[in-house]
Amino acid sequence: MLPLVFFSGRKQLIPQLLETIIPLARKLKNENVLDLIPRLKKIMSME
Amino acid sequence: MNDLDPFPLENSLKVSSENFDISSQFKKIYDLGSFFQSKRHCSKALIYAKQALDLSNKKSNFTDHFIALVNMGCVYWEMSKLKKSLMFYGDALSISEQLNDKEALGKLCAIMGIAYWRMGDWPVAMNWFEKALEKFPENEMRTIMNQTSSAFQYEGLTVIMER
Repeated sequence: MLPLVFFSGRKQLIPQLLETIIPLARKLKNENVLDLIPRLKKIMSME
Repeated sequence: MNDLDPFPLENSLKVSSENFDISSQFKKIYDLGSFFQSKRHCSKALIYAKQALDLSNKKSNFTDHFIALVNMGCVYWEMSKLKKSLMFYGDALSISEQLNDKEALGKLCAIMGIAYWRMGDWPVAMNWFEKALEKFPENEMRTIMNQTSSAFQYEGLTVIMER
């Protein structure tokens, strides 16, 4: 969902989505998602 | 076109076919496919998308062939057949490269990435996202997004990205 939001020009929604996704991924110990978030943030110039 | 009754268009398609007007036939077939796609009648949309592709193969018009390929990709996307949709988007990408169409390249690379993302292949998805932004930087993308309507040839790609 994140990339679709970004590429459809709704970048302003991404911080809010990340606020939901990151704690959830931590809670579920989903390392795959946690590993890809820094690269994704870099691609989307969100750092 | 999406709110219109498709039957008059089907009739006018018959007239175009009788007059061998390939350009007019292509546009009508495309519109019919879009109509059924918007109504989520994917099997019927696929029939018209295949007809449009066959017709575009008979013409030496890169733009129509590009539109027909994208359209096939979009219908398969709607049917959740992402691998099939990638095949057609890949062919459309080759045409965009030949035409050096930055907007099409950027949108197609982004859609390729989103498809891989949905299939769970995240590293490959990221590579496509990077390529998309390299071809079509974010500031240029934003300018296009702010325009009220997209060019006809990008219609299918825009629909996918906005859903």
